[in-house]
Amino acid sequence: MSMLTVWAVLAYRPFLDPLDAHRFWWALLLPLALFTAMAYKAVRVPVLDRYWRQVGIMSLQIVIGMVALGFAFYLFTQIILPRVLPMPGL
Amino acid sequence: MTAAHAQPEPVGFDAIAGGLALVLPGAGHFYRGDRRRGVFIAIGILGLFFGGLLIGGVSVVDRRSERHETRLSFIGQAFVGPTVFVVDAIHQSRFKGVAEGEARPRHPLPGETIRGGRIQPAMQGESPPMRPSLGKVNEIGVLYCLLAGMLNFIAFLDALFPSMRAAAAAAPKGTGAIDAVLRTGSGGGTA
Repeated sequence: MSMLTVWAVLAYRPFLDPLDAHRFWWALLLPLALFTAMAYKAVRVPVLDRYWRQVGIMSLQIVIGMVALGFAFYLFTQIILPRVLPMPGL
Repeated sequence: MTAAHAQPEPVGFDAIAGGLALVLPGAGHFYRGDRRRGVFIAIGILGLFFGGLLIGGVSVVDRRSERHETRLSFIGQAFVGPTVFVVDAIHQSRFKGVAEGEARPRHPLPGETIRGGRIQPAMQGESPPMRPSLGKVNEIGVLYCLLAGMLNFIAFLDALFPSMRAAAAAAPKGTGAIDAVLRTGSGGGTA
């Protein structure tokens, strides 16, 4: 039994042990975008009247930006790079 | 303007608010009377920090990590305040130990435990005191805590120099806060 398997079956203790989120790690970027926007917009906006609208817009911008970056890196490493520098056997 | 809607008087430099912002995220703004803003800052930054701990476990805050990236990230995480140093102190003292014949403290592996600061073979059915996170879960946990520190640095500067946001609000659209402060000298009056 590998070390990873042994650790995965042990009981989960919040804040001590990691979440078993290796299959849905990408979903963890959504709360990251929300909390980042909350803290940043709380500092940035002059008046808090339109705070939640600003937080929503910034969260969306972060998520769209990360998806776009991921897609750009996919294109570069999987399509452009193999054409520019073909690797025999791959 | 009524008393209920009064904005805190912007001043150029507020050392007490800056200090409080470094001790507890949002406390600097709360102290200046900008309570809603302080609460939002605290929720955002502490949400990120404790979210990171929840995702990656206590091993995401480790100033003596074997991983160079985690050690470097601790510098950024430190801006969250004393909370980070308390978490790291608990991590180093309770969840790491020195094994026989090894110089550096490390986490115990399955089949090992910590007794008196030393790594020893575990008894039957005994599990290690914690499991270090690996891979993407570790990276995302470290990123959460690092972002919390970086954002609290911004909140600290905003609490320390409260006139900057007021100046940006008063400045014509398209000009920066620093331009406005330089132009008006004090920060532009009311927010």
